[in-house]
Amino acid sequence: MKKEPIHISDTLLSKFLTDHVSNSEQKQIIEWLEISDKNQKHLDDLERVWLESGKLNPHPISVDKQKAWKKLSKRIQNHKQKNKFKKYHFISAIAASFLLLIGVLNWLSKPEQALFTYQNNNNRVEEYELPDGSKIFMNQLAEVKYLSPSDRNTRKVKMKGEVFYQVHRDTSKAFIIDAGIGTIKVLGTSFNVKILANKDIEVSVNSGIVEIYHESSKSKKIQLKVGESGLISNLKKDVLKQVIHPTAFFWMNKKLIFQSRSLKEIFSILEKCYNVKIISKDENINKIHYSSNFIDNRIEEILQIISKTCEFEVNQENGNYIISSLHKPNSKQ
Amino acid sequence: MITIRPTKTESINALNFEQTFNDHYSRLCSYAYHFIKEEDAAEEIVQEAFYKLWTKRESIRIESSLEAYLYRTVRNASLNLIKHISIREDYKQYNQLMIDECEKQESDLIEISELEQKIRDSIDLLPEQRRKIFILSRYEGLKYKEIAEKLNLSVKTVENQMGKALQFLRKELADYLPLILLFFHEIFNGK
Repeated sequence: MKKEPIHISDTLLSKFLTDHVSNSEQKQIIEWLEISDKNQKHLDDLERVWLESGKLNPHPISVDKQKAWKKLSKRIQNHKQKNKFKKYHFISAIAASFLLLIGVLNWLSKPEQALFTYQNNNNRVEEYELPDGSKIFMNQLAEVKYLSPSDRNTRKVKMKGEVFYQVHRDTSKAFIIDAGIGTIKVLGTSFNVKILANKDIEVSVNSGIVEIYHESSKSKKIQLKVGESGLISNLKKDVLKQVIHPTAFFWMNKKLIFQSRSLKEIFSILEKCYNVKIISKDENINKIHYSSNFIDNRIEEILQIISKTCEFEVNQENGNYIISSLHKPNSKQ
Repeated sequence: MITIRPTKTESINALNFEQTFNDHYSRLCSYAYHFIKEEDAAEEIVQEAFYKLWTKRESIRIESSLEAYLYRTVRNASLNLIKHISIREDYKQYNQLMIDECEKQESDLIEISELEQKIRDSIDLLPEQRRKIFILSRYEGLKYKEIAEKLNLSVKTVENQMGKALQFLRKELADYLPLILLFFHEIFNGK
């Protein structure tokens, strides 16, 4: 009669190696070893690991290397900020005192010191986690400074360029963004802030509620909800609501938001985003208004989906997309 | 005004700094622990050593190697800490003995075999609880039951975690096992 195949787990073998097995378990293991060389080798391997690891001197202790590295990087980052002045002393005494003076003036005008500075000098989107747990996605050349809070009820950052925020919800601590001529205040939401060349600030909300105001009229605040966009205007010194730009989040997650836009506009946006050419000569098609959102779709998919709703045909010719009415080919035949 | 930079045999940059951290952090912690027998304090000493190494990298003069410098710093800081804890008369003597002995050891320490590095790295990769259990069993020589009591777990959990730990290490070290085998043969053949 054949014996049932025995299965011996690594758990049992570990007990064997560490001398924790009972007599019956030991017998079981010996039987199992006699079955095949493979079993024998398996135990040999485990035993070698056990013996070799035992030779380590000094013996290992339980550490979390990643956590330790993060802690160290943070401390170093902090140190860099604190030490910026020190370096100048070496240049010359006059230069140092001059710089120090500027530094003091600087410091007086901005009582909040930056705790951490995040910069993106790469040509891809960079993601960082702020000390409060909020996430920032930085477009090229963006800069975010996490400031030491002036009071316990706020979290403050100062920014340049374009940044998408996923603010960690903390109802006891408002998250306040100083974006130059205006301020954005939230509790926990996600939204995009883009500072334009003329200092205008464009805020587009992806989730939650966001409050914005111009520096010169802090009492006039407007609230933006999901899918809404606001502009803090440098020229008008005011805040106004506007239709969210279809490509407000495109750089971040390839999201497109079309809120009742004409197909003519949509095609032109798609051409820019996907770097393709869309030829649509039929004015009846171009006039159609369309609403929908897309996230990370291919251009072919987007055109297919719109064509189904708006009933037109898409053909590819020499790498261009040709839009034509549905019935044309039929009428030709 | 002329500033004279000390000559350095090895300069510290962001690249070799992170590399050195990765290779030596856990081992340096073990080294500090070996003196002070306190895990958190050991980590703090090593953290401080790396922090100082980076922030003072312009002025630090490294005679031999980055590694040698780190081990020396960690050792001195550890011994200093013990000095604060126990101010016994015979301690000074013991301290000097320690230093002499360590200096000999340190030159050996800096040379890490590929296998040793791999084993240490693999242990670092274990999930926290499993790592703790493995270390208590392997290096503190505790019985499963004692580990279970210490970590407030069931003996079954300890058994399972130990099984998984060894299983993981076996997989991680698979490439090195044939080499160890050779070594064993040499011993058995009365090398």
